[in-house]
Amino acid sequence: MKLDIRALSWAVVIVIWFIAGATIGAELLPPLKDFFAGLAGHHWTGKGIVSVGVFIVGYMAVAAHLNSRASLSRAVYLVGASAVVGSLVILSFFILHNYGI
Amino acid sequence: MIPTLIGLHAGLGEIGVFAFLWVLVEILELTESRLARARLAAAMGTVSLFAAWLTGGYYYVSFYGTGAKTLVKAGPFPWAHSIFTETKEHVFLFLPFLALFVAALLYTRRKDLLENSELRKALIFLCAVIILLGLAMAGMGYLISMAARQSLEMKLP
Repeated sequence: MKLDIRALSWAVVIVIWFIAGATIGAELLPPLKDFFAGLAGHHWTGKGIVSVGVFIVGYMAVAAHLNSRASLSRAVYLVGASAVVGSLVILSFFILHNYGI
Repeated sequence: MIPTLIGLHAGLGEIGVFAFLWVLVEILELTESRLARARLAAAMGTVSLFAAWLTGGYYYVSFYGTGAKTLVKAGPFPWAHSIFTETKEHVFLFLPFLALFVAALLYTRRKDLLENSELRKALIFLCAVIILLGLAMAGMGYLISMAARQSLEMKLP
């Protein structure tokens, strides 16, 4: 099976935003944090395991349905930009959360 | 056990950062031989970052909550935990996936990388993101350690 690099780029973007969403969601919704903790004994481990699953399933789903000839450069920039913005979103959330805003 | 785990986590993370700095340098003027070295560096960096995930994760789940976290939260800089540990533990999760993507791109797109300067520029940007996020992890680790140390010093007579 040949690796589909565009699908892989989308899988990385999907997993980045899944991690950002799950991080914020678990802080705001205790049942979600409990769900992650219930998977592996600690919410962080649970998020890590689910992230790997999201990455694999995301890759397979996109590879099966994407028929893109879009620029590979743009895909790489999108991955990098998602990582930067996702990091800033998480940092901003915890700054606001710390000060009760 | 704890100092060994922290040392391994930090050391593996630094190897990962330097490996992607090496990748970035090789891509600046890419040739066949430089691509071969970039692939080796990316593979090494990816393995290091996954290993840093495992060692750091084992320390965080097994020891941090009952040790350093308690100290930091009771000390003069509790925000080091509530802002920086929380951010570090989640943003770190991006790094192994980013590293894997860069390695996969280097191993599967030889022709595109050698002929397409736009793709090389994009990859340089992505390597820079990995390096900067890795350095941010080290900086946040310093802040957390500093907060724990300050808390301990407050308890000394």
